[in-house]
Amino acid sequence: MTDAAPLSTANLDARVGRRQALRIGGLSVSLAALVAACGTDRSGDTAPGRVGNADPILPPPDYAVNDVVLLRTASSVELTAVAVYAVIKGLGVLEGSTADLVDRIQADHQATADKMAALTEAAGGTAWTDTNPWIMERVVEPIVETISTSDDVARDVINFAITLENLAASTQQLLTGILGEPEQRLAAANASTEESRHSAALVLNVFGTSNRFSPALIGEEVARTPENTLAMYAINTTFGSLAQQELIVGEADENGSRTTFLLATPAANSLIYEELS
Amino acid sequence: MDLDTTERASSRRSLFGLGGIVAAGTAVAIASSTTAAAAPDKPTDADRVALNAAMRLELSARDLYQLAAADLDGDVAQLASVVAKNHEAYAQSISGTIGTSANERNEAVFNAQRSLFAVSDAQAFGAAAWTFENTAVATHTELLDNYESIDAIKLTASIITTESRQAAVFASLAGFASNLDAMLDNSAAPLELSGGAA
Repeated sequence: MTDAAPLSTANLDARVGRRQALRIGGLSVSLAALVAACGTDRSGDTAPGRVGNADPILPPPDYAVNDVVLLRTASSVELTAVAVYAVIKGLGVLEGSTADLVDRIQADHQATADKMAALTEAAGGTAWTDTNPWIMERVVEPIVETISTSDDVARDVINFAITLENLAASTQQLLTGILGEPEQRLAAANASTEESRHSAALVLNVFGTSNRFSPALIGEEVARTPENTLAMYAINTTFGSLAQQELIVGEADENGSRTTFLLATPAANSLIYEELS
Repeated sequence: MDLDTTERASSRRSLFGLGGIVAAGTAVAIASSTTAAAAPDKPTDADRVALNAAMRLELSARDLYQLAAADLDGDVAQLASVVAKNHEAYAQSISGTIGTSANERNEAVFNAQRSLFAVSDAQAFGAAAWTFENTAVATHTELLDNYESIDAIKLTASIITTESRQAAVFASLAGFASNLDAMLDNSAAPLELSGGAA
């Protein structure tokens, strides 16, 4: 037996001789004794150790999610759309019938926000009259910043608007299934169908009849556009989807890739709880 | 073509010739006080009656679009086939939810619409399909308002969003692409459907 190769679990059985076995046994006994000595009479915090002087971690607040919260969240999403369209219009890249369509869509979102606010108050809550701060900060602002330096602002603005409508429709579809009162569900369902029409109308207005339905609906691959963005379709799925929406915008890098954003329906971190004001 | 078509279509009951069809609303009216928290997951007996009627409406839609696809050409024929398959998928999903076979269409709806769908003119087909999709959305939405179970509500919500997209596509095909009210509004009234044989 030689000591050329280091000891490992793979060669332990073949290579451990009597002398080595005694050495290993002695080490094991020593470590066991050390662990035993350290394991008694211990006290203090059993949480994982921390380094530095950061504030202590507090448990997350346990806010109720009820109809008022859901309706306030619905208002916030609608008002976020209103705000986004204000920004989009300010970029000055929309013209003619597309500009008219966007004006109408923006007005529809304001009307839906007002409806949700009225339902919030009817449910005993305080209406939410602002955008959704989480979505604005984490989603809208980065997207707008990326679009502002794009090689084709008009293209990205349209794709953003279509994706935003898909997200709004998904949000309202989701709320239709969880709101408590029939009147609330009906309002959400009507908003969902209206926002689906918004999306389809935008697609048809900008991309024309060739984008009436997704190739996926006839079993074909959905290819990227020549600019390496996602193709948009008026009829995009068989059933209304609650999945996150993908958006590709901005200037292409040296590989032709652009920035991808994922937009998801509101969840625990973006709900407008009653404790928010 | 002007929006008078919408108004003619808006008298949905005469359009679909459904005067003799029995309303199912009485069976589900109690749902008005149901909240999501208290609502059952699975369809109640009242839901099953209404869902069965909705399923038969979807089967009628499938057959109407298949009829149209046979007479149309090119991409519009393909569009009709896609929408036919979507409606079949809705019927099958409803069928799975209530545990019955999706094999019996609403004959009254089909017979009232077949001459409008069996056309070779794309714009005429678009007008008929636009009206039909809007009416289907209105009908499902009214049923949704009365459903007691979460499954029925969620499934219906997922159907009406795509049917609304289809309505917009057909409004455009019918020549109303620049008419925002036609593209974005739905002034159709719901059908009164029977869960049993029409």
